[in-house]
Amino acid sequence: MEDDLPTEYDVVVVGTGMTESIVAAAASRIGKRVLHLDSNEYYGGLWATFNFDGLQKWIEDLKSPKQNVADTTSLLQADEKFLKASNQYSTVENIIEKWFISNDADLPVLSTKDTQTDGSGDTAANDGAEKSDEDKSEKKETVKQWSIDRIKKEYRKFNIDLAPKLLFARGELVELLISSNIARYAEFRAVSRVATYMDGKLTQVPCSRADVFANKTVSVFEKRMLMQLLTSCMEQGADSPEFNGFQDKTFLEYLDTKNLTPMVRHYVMQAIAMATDKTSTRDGVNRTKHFLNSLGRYGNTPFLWPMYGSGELPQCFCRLCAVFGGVYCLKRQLDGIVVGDGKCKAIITGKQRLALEHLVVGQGHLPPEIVSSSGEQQISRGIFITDRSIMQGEKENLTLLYYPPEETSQEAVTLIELGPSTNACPQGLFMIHVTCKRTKTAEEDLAYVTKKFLHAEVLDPNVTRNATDSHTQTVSPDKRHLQEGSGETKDDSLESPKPQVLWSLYLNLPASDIKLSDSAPSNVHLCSGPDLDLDFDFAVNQAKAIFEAMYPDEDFLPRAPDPEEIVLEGEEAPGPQFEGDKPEEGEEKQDVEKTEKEE
Amino acid sequence: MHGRVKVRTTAEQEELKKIERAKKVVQYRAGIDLIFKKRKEGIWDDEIFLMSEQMVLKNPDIYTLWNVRREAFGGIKWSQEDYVEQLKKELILTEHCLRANPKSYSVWHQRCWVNDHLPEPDWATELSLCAKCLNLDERNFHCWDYRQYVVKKAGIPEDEEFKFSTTKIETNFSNYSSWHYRSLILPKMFPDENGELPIREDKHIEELDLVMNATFTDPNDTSAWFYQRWLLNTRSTSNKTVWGIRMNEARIVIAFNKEVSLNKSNTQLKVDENLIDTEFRSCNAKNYTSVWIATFPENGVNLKRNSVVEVLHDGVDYQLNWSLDDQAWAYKSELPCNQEHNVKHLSTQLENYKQLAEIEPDNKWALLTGIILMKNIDAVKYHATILNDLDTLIRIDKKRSQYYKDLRSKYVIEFMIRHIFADKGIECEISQIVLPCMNLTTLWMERYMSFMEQINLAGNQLGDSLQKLCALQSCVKLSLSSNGIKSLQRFPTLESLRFLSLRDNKLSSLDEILDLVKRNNLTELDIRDNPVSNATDILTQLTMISPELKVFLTSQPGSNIDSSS
Repeated sequence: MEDDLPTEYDVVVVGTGMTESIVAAAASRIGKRVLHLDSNEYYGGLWATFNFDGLQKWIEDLKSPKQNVADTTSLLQADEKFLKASNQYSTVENIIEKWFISNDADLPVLSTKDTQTDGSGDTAANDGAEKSDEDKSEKKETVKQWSIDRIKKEYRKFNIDLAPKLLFARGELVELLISSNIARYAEFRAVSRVATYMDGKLTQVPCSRADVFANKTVSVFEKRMLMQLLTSCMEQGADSPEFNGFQDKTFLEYLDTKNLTPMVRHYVMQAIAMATDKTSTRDGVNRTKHFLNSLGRYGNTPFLWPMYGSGELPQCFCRLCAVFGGVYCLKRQLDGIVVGDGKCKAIITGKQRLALEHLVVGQGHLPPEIVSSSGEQQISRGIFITDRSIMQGEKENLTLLYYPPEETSQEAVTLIELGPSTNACPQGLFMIHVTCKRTKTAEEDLAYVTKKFLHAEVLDPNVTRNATDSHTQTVSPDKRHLQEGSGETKDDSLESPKPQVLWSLYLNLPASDIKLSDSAPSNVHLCSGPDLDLDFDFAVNQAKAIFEAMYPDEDFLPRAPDPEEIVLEGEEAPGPQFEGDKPEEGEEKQDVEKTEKEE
Repeated sequence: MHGRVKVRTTAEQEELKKIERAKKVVQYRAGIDLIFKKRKEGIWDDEIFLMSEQMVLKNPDIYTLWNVRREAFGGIKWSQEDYVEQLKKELILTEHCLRANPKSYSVWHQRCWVNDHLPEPDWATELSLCAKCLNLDERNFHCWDYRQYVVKKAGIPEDEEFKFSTTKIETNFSNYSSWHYRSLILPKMFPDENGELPIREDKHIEELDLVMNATFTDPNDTSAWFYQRWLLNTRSTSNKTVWGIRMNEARIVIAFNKEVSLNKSNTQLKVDENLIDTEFRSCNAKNYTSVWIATFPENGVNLKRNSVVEVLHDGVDYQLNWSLDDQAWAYKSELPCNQEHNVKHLSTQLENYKQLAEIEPDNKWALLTGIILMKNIDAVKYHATILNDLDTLIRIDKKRSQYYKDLRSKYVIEFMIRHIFADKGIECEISQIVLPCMNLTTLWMERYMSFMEQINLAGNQLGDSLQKLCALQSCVKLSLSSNGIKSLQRFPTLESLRFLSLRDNKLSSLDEILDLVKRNNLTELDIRDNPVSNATDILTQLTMISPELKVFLTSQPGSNIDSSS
């Protein structure tokens, strides 16, 4: 029933999460025989990105129990022990999915006239997306309003992340993607603004020098204070004498001594350091430094977002692993591991016994016998499809908002809002991801933020909301120009209504800080699931540590060659040249290079 | 195994590169030889275009090839259609080259040339090329230059360009080119009618505020401060170019408010309606200078007390009157004064920069801007503060201390000169100025000392920068004691000078002293307390040149030039 795999490996990696994939690529890159398994039919595990339909299937699958493991005793030797794999550390809980809009059938029928007036908007909306004839004919009938049917029908235009994460422009992952030459497998968009909630409204935080300069709400002295503080964090770091005496104090206490105006203090605390009242000075300074270090490299903010979702990134590493000979097998479950002499000798999967030197295993497949603590840092997630941005702007934005707790019982929430240009959702919609540390259920933990920024009430199908004035749908290019002229202030965020939620999903992800017990075989390496941090640094560092433990003397993901640097053995002699074929003007140079290389 | 991944080693890649390079060299040599041969023989054909095109694509900076191409355009007999076609191809070629090297002088120049020769250049495309290029690198001054060229040719309205410069500054204000561009556009859009401010008063305020924003955001970025200098550079103007004239039977001295060049066509001297043939010479042998002299041959001018003497310069008639004080014919006018502008606004800015300097005591730009603001608001009222702040600057910015010292000297001298003239009034002759022990490192406004007879600069730090003394054309008695002077090489020839004190300096060259005495008609020279005063034979040698000269060599009781005044 299942394919037979080769039976001996240097490294077997189970699970295609971020850490697992990086380790698999690194091992394969230095020539190790790698087998990479995943029980799912998709890549990424809890790091995955789904389209709307895929997400529905994923939710459905969680309800059905996994198949039982067959008898394995025949595959074991006398002194070996079999430890059954378990999925208890990847349990997703408290899934609540809600619709706030109706089916097509319940929507009022709009006159043809209405549809026509909306025509121009819709044409723009479909720009860049694939245009089939079906789409076109459909457009004539579709009303502007979004319905459950329409979202389900356009399922492919959604990319929904289980664990949305940003990359610091000079963070571990960006540097790794560049140094390993894996960056060419991925595309990114810069986060266009960092927002903060202040004095009852959302404002854009001036974080780059250009922002600070152009900002008209901050006085010249506040500008100086802000720049001065940022520069000292940036240049001197937490060990500078500047921070003497604050080692045991909070970042807030340090800021209080700097005579900052409330606005500047707010910007630094909540948007740049993303700190709470409890954050230590050291952490605050380091976070500020990290933020600033990454500024000015790719965009207006320090952050990048992976196009098509965070789930793309593990796949990039898998691709490199495969290029260097790694064997991939999806829909293949780990049944358990074979332990003998204090080592993991093999795994059992699909009635096969596969021998290995190292086992790298995602937390979702660990046998409970070798786990010491099941972790506390569980994650509450909320995903919303909305009809407009939380903060209307002149152009489509990719927004990061850090919202500190209003009460002590709450946790700080990070909110990422994605527009259609990231391919997270179709034109006219926005995708909002909120994440915080779990205390109760996801819905309860996130309720205060949902209430603050979103309108999550069921929409009466007969009441048409004002057309979204989001440029992504209705504003024609010339009208946009007018808006640019008029709107410098962000006051409109007050006047414009909160985004209407069309669909929402709450879920709790498992803890990422589970630990192996001391008795676990030393050649078993644990890869954590998604963590609470904004970026991927934790996963990258974990992968590095695992690789270091396995192959202390080897390079970690050295630069992979470009295709033209690769010679296929037996083809080193130049092939016959195409004579008489004169290269065209523009291509000439390249062709010359190519022929020269072949020689 | 077939098809397995094998990566070329760096050594292999290096080897490949070497071969590639060698090939390129051969190609280059062959190409250049061919092109030069054809050029020499005057064979202008398609091949020369084709060859040079391939070569400039690889290296657009070989400007000779572009020259050859332009020659070829002229060398071939084209039909109008083909000519335009070829020019358009040249545009495409330059664009390709710019992609490879957007900072190539020759390529930008070639593009200008092409557009100059096209019957209907497409300026819209050129402008969008500039915009594209400046998006990639907003500080590419080649492109800013080219943009200016396009804007001028296409007659693009200035306000559009102004907006463009604003957006560029907003994305990154560390941009000398864009600030500079503003300083070119703004005076055209909003000229100041009085010509005293660089731009109209209300716009001046706006720009000052904008630049203040930039300087507070990043005080270490010099581009904004430079633009601010331009804004704060108010010109003191006077409607007359000539400030003063003194004339007697022997010579005429004219002091101008600015540096000018005199010749017979722009300047004439008339005595009783008779044109006097005068040969003006500049005081420092430069073409443009502010003090000009002419000497008359004996009996060259027939001057009577009631003669009508006038100087015509640049169409303006300056009447000279007999002055009893000077025993000379004289034309006198007020010192040009600095008009006050935007005082209220400048004061607000001053407050901000003072506060900034308080928060950041080491912020030299804030201090310096404060000084310039104070000078523009009220130089007299703030004189003490200005000097104090300059002293702070000298201390905190050691690398530029000499600059601040010079600036300080300028302010001190200007203050003193204005003070003296304001005190005495225009009609009174000011025959002396006393500027001792004021830490002066340079002279300033020396043109206004050109009629003074006694000038005391003792105890300063003029050092060897003595060239500016050339303006002191009427000076009879000059003290340069204790100025750290090592060399007299730059000491000018001053016709009126009789008494010169160089006491307590570091002069060591006898030759220089001898040369000084040869060049100047001195009666007393004080060189006490200098290494050179111990030179053997010094007195003998000096007497040989000038038997009448009284030389002070060693400290002795008796007369002393410094104390005798």
